[in-house]
Amino acid sequence: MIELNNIHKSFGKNEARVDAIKGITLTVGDKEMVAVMGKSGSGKSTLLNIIGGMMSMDDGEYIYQGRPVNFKSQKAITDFRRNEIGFVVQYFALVEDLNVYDNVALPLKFQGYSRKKIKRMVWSALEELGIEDKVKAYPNELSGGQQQRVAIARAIVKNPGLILADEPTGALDQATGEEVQNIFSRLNKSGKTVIIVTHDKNVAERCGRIIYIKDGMIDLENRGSAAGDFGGMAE
Amino acid sequence: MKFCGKRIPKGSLLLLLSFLTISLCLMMMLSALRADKINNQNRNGLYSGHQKRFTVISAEDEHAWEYVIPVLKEEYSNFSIYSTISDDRYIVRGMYKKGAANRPSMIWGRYFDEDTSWTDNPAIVLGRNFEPEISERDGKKYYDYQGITFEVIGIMGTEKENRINNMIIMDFKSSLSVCGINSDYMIDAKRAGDVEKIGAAIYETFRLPARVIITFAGNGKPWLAKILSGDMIMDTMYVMMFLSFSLSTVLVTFIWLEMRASLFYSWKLCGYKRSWELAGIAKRYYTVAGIGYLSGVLMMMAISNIINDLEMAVGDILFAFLITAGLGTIILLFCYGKHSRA
Repeated sequence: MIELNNIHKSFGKNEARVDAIKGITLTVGDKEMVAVMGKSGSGKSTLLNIIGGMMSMDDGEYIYQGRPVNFKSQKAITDFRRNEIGFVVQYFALVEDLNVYDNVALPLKFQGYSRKKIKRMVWSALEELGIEDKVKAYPNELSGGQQQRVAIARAIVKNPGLILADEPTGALDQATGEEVQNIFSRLNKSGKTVIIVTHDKNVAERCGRIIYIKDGMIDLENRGSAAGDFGGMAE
Repeated sequence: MKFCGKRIPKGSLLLLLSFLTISLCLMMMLSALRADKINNQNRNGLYSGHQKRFTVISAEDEHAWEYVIPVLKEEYSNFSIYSTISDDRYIVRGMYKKGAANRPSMIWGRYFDEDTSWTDNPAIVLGRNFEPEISERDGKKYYDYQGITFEVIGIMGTEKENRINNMIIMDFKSSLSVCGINSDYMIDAKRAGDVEKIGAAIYETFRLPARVIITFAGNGKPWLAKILSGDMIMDTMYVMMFLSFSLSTVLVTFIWLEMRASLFYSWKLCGYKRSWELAGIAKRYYTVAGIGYLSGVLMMMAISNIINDLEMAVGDILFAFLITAGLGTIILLFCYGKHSRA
C-alpha cells in the first residue's frame, strides 16, 4: 500500500538546519496496523505528516497504491489527503464552535453530496463510534474520550483506506486510551490500514508491527507482539 | 456564548462591533457632510466659497456673452457664471453652468445643467418658499418674474428655513434681458484655481468698448489658514476616525483569523482546497460583518431619531454598505493572505 524510498526531510537553513528524516525506507502493506515509536524529536510525527500529505518531503520517493504521490501539485496533494487519508491527532483538532454533527460532516462539505447523503454518512460514522447521542453537543461539552471518538468519526466518515493517528491516546487517561485503542483495532480488522505514532508501549503492543525511529532513521523494526523488545526505548 | 442554539465563534463579537462602528461612523460622516454642505450653501448662498466678483461696463453689444460663453465652454469643464439681479425682497440670479457645480438640495425637479442654463426658453429654479406662487398649465409649471414667464424646472431648498428657500435662479440669457449686459457677475468653479483663469479668459474675450473689471489678488486664504479652518478640521477628523476604525478592524480580523486556527487545521486535515477554505472563511466573515453593518444601520436610525441634525438617507445606507463590503473584502484578503503565509 505504502512504499517510502529513501525519504529525507529537513527544517531551517544553514546552521539552523535540522534533519528530521534521514533516508527512511519503509513499506506498509494493505490492512496492516503499524505503530511508530521513538523519543520526542526523533522524526516520527514528521514521517506521519509526510505519509498523510500534510508536509512535503525534500528527497526520496513516496508510492501510494502503486502510484507516486505528487507533492509538487497543491491540487494533487489536497485530493490525496481528502480521498485517501483519515487523520486523528492528539488534541483532537475539533472545531469548537461546530457541534459534533458539523465537525464530523466537515470532510463531506464541498463534495457535491446531497444533504441527505451527508446525514446518512455522518450518522453511520457516529453509530460506529457509539456517540450518536452526542450529535448536538459542542466539543467542550464532551469528555476527552468522547472528543477523540468524534475526531475518529470525522477521520472515517469518508471511508478512507488509510488511518493516520498521531498520539491518539496521549491526552487521555489509561482506560479511555484503551477504549480508543480498541476502536483502532476494530477499524483495522474491518480492513483499514492504520499507522499510529505513539509513546505508549501498550498501544504499540496491540499493533502488528512496531517501528522505532531514532534521529530521523529507522532504528529497529519488529513484527508481531514483541513490544517488550522496545519497552526500554520508548519514553 | 450561544445564540438561537448555535455557538457564536470566538472573536466574532469583536469583529461585529468593528463593522458596526465602521458602518455607523460612515453613515454619521455622510450625514454630517450633507449637513455641512447645506450649511455652507446657506452661508455662501449657493457659491462654493472661492467665487470671484467681476463687473462688465461700457459694453454696447447686448449679445456679447454669445461669443464669450463658447470660448469658456471650450476650455473649462466645471464652472458657473452668475449674473446678479437687484431685488429688494429676494436673492435673484441668472446662471450659466457647465459640469459639476455647487448643486443645492432639490425638493422637486432638477437643477440647471449646460443646456437648461443656456437656452432661449426661459427656465427657472425656485426656492421652496415660492412654491405657492407657481401656476400650472398643460402639465407644466410656470412662474412670472419681471414680466417674463419662466418654466419652473425645479424647486430647491430644505425643510428647515434657510437662504436657499428664498432664492430665484434663472437661465443666463433670461437674466441678461432683466439686468442688461453691463452688470455685476460672479465666477465660480469646482477648483479654486480655475476661477482666476476663467476670469482672465472673460477679461480677454470681451471685445472693446466693453471692459471687464476684476480684481484677482488678495482674496485667497493662506494654505495654513485653509488647513486650520473649521470645515477642514472636521473633514480631517472624520477621515482620521474612519481610518483608525479601519485599522483596528485589520487587527481584529487578524485576531479573529487566529481564533479560527483549529478550523483551518481541521480543514487541512480534511484535504480542503484553498478555494474552499477561502469560501468557508468568507462565508463566516461576511455573516459577522453583515450583522455588524445592519446593527450599525439600526443604531444610526435610532440616533437620527434622537438628534434631528443627523439625517439618514437611503443613499447613505447604500454608500456605507458598498464601502463596508469593499473594505471588509480588502481587509479579509489582506489578513487571510498574511495569515496563510504565517
